[in-house]
Amino acid sequence: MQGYYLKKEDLNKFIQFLKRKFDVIGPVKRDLYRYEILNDELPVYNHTTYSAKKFFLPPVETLYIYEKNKINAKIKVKPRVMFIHRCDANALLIIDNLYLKDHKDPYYKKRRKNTILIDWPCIPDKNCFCKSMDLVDYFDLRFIDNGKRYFVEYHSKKGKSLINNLFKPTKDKGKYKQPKCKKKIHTSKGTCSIYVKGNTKKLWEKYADMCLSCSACTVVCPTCSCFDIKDIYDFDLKIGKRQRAWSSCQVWDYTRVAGGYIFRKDREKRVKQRILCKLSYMYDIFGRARCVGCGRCISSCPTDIDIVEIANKLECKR
Amino acid sequence: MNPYIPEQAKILDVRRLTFDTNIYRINHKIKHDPGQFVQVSLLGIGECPISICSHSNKYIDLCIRDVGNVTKFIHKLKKGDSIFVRGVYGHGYPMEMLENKDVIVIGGGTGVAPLRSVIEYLENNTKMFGDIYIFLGFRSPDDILFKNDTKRWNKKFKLILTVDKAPRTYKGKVGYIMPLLEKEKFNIEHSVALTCGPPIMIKFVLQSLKKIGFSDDQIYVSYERLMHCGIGKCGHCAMSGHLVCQHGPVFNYSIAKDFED
Repeated sequence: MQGYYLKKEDLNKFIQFLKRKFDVIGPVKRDLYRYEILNDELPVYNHTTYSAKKFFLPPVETLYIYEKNKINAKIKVKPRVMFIHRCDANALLIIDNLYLKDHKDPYYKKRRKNTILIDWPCIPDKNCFCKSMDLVDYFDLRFIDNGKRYFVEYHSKKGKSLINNLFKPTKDKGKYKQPKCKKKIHTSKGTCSIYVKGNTKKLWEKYADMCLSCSACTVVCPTCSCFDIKDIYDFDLKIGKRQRAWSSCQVWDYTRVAGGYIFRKDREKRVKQRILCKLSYMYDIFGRARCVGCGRCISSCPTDIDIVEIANKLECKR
Repeated sequence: MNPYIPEQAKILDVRRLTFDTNIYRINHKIKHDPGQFVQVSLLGIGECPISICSHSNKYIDLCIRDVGNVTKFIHKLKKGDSIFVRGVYGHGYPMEMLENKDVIVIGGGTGVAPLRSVIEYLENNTKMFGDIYIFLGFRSPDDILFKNDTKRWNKKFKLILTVDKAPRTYKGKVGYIMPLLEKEKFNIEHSVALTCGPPIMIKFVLQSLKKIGFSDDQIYVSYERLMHCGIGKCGHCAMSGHLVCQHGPVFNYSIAKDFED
């Protein structure tokens, strides 16, 4: 594969070039570090507080509008280029397994198709543990910081199409270095999926005592993709829309069925559900754990519930 | 194809079953297995999963109890009104795999609805199966569903119908299903049990079945969970990573025994 160099001072020119055709999204500093559409700033390396999932699964999204009995669904997405950290790109691969298989989700599919991903270097924060989670290379174009220049390589036709005359071809091969993480899940085989053995009831009780069911962990999680569907209609009852909105398994009525029965009424069941959904339950569907090791749930938890700490207390098999 | 968009269908017939349950015949022509479900949707109100309680290519019957937001509004609809439906979704009872076996159908309350689809299938294909036993349990005589059908089933199959509590004037059986199940003599090696009902009943029925010698893979259970999408996206129905809407709602108990809520 052909590699390229881009001078650091040319990055702004490259972004201006992209802005002619695309919405350019990247990690920036606003009130917090977060993914936003770039104004005049350059993307930063810092680990963001929120994940990039809102650009693929918006917090609230209209599925369709209806007038009397006519249903009208439109999906419009502008082409986008996204500077994305490795963990968030891997999270998209995980959500793909759910949203792009069997009944394909047309809204997510369109957004994925219209987005070119640029792997962007990152500085891990104190809660990152991505090295334990077997991340793979997934990008259209990758920037590796080489001190004065960026080494750039492409992985797809989409990525190649972005390479313009600012990039200088080189015979060098870029060396990707995985950033060093302070936290680590100790599994026997070094893989990331955990199988629970023995009686873990006391463990869940302990963390349920700490948990406030605030659902911050699921909001910041890049792989949490659950939603509710709601109908919203005008006062005249003629026009309405069906929307989906993010939902959280940590909320008490997440499993409430008609008639009022709640399957996961106890908080310990809900805490267990989240942790094991991330680490082991979804192994059959995803072929890996549903966690990418971004550590956002640890950073956002008001009572410091630490998924790494829990994972290290569970016995593992696979 | 947008899987979230429902199709319009007409209500062909409405019949009252009990004080809070109606049966709706809808001209939604679709091939389906017994135990599968559709997402019924009213624009402006919402959607809910309802299992199909008939087995025909020409229509679907939906047995709807007035317990929630959407079902309350469905109860206001009349013959000729339109309703929106999408699907059919999920995996039903694997009837073709069960051929030549004795079938024991065990249902409780509204859980009898998906089993009516099974029984209609059995009625149409009686020769393919061995002896057929039907155990139905309801809360009270007023809650008994499908009274017209049970008369017919009683002639064709061995039907045992019981209610939990009843006034003294009630002539039928009173009590739980479990002791009646344990009393009956089955050819256990050649039998399968198909169950659906409230969680607490399923729990005890499974205990009884195990007690009289059924192995896990001879039992099929159907689960009820909250669903928003019906197509494995929204995550509400996940049980230990198994999506009830997509991999279920019917599971073989050899898989389902490891499930946690």
